[in-house]
Amino acid sequence: MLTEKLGTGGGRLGVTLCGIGLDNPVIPASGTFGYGKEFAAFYDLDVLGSLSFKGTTRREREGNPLPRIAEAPAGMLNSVGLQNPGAEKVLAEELPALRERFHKPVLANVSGFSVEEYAETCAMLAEDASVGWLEVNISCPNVHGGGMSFGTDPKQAAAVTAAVKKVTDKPVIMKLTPNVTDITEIARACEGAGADGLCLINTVSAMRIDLRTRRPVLKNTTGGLSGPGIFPIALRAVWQVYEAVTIPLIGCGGVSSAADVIEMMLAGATAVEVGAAGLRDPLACPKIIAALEETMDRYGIRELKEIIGGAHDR
Amino acid sequence: MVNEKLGPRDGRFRLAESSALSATVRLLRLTGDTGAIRVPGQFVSVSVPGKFLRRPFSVCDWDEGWLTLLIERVGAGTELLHALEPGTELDVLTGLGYGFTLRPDRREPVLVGCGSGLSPLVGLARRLRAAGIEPKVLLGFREERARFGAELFPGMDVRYAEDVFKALDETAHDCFYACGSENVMTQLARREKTAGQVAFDVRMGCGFGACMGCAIRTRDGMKRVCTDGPVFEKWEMINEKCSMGNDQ
Ligand SMILES: Cc1cc2nc3c(=O)[nH]c(=O)nc-3n(C[C@H](O)[C@H](O)[C@H](O)COP(=O)(O)OP(=O)(O)OC[C@H]3O[C@@H](n4cnc5c(N)ncnc54)[C@H](O)[C@@H]3O)c2cc1C
Ligand SMILES: Cc1cc2nc3c(=O)[nH]c(=O)nc-3n(C[C@H](O)[C@H](O)[C@H](O)COP(=O)(O)O)c2cc1C
Ligand code: FES
Repeated sequence: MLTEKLGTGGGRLGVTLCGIGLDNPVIPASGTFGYGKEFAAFYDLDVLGSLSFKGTTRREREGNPLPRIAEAPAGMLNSVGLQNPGAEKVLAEELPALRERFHKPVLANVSGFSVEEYAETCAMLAEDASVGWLEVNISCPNVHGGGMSFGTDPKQAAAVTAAVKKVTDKPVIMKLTPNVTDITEIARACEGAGADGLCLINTVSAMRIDLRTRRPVLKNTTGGLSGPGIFPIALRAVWQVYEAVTIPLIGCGGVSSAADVIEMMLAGATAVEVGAAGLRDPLACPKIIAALEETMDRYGIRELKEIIGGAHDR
Repeated sequence: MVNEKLGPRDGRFRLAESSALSATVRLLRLTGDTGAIRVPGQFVSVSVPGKFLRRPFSVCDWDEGWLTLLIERVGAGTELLHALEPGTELDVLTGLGYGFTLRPDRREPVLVGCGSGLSPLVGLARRLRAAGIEPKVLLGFREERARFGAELFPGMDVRYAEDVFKALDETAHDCFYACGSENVMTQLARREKTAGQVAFDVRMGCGFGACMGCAIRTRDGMKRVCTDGPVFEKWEMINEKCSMGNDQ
């Protein structure tokens, strides 16, 4: 039963994200968790606070050519290119299957290439009972706006936010790219347009070259860096945006341990997402959750919800 | 915590033995729980100390309590694995991938291994023989001095070839099981008249189906090499490679 397992937001680990309670703040990040099926082979998904499923677009996308993955000194690069089966299939096949394995509200991660497409896909996914939040990824290029990313232009970011807010009453969390000069500008634009929360950050633009072939490793030339190497970048983004807006934040980028969760929350995150760490070790999320209380004890933390933004001057 | 009923399993293995097969290839024998490995052609994903992503390798052969990996040194990760001392403990995901489907109705199979792609054919050959089928083995190497591996198929009809397509045309067979680079395997699938299966490797992220890092376009739509493969039926492979998309 959905209601039986619903997070309460209570206990030592509980938090409340845009009005919905989470048993703990740990959420697998979009694109690193598929639609949950694969991880259910390793552990009981209900230990998670929530999960963010693969970035879904209105229609099916095949993604970029291979290779789409490269190693980095402290993480990985990907240029998957939003491969997904499209909103209809996700609603008809993936979410019913996910509901059997996970009994709490999920974040529906949505991508699009025009404002209308974002709104349409969000409206479709918001109808599904298991969707608690819309998580709108605005790092895609706007095909009608000259290919510039929605997430790098405050006006376009606001336009997507407003359009999505219009089609649903569920909380709308805008997911921001770090590949901008001033992330607080985009954050304020989203808040101004009605966003209920923000998720920071998506991957950091990056590349590798293969010394043997003297060509870029990724067929797409560039890709997104994620993993422990970007943790300090994500932390800085959360810190700055916490000072700029009042809506809740999800910290995402390089989180790999319970200590990282606490650090993110001290910077201002209400919840955290874990991406690359779970690709390297499928048990990363349950291990982080299991280690939270002991780590809290070490630092004299009674309840996690008390430390959100705790590192800022009051 | 790990669900025993389903596919992959997370386990600790101990390096029991590491021996050189050629200047660039070593055979590693690991001991540990191999219960998740079901068929030849499946792979494991090894956590390499000092590297972020795991490295995928075909299971060369296995039985209860042990498995072997044939590892060619191509970069930093495989170099680290080559240098490991026996006794080292490794974190390994086992039971990954969809392996070869043994066809007992085909009595005259040929196994085609290109370079280190011969690895999964070792366990496959042993199982075919246990089922009373004598496979022929073709090992493709572009250079004579790179050759290795015949000793892994004791008592079998093994031949080295510089041109595997030509060698295959000259070998009587009623089906084939092949493993090598994606390029050669796609060509082979298109040329071959008999039924068969091909296995190949691509760069992977997770290795267990979650990241879409390994997806290719097959005749049957987009497939993940790590979970729908790495073994594919000949007919699934089409000429065109994966396509389009512009940003992540
Ligand atoms: C399902 C599967 C089964 C495999 N089985 C075997 C096996 O039995 N024996 C074996 O020796 N290797 C196998 N490989 C390939 C092996 O995983 C790579 O060679 C290894 O990961 C390279 O690691 P590295 O750190 O040494 O190389 P890197 O430093 O990452 O790269 C060095 C060079 O190797 C190339 N390379 C890296 N990864 C791959 C890859 N996945 N496929 C092709 N080229 C690559 C790069 O282009 C680069 O030029 C398999 C791969 C897959 C996906
Ligand atoms: C393989 C891969 C695919 C991803 N796909 C998506 C996606 O579809 N939508 C999205 O919003 N973010 C996507 N991301 C970004 C992650 O959700 C996350 O923001 C980023 O990886 C940083 O977190 P990490 O360092 O913990 O991985 C993807 C990341 C990876 C590694
Ligand atoms: S490597 Fe992640 S889906 Fe295949």
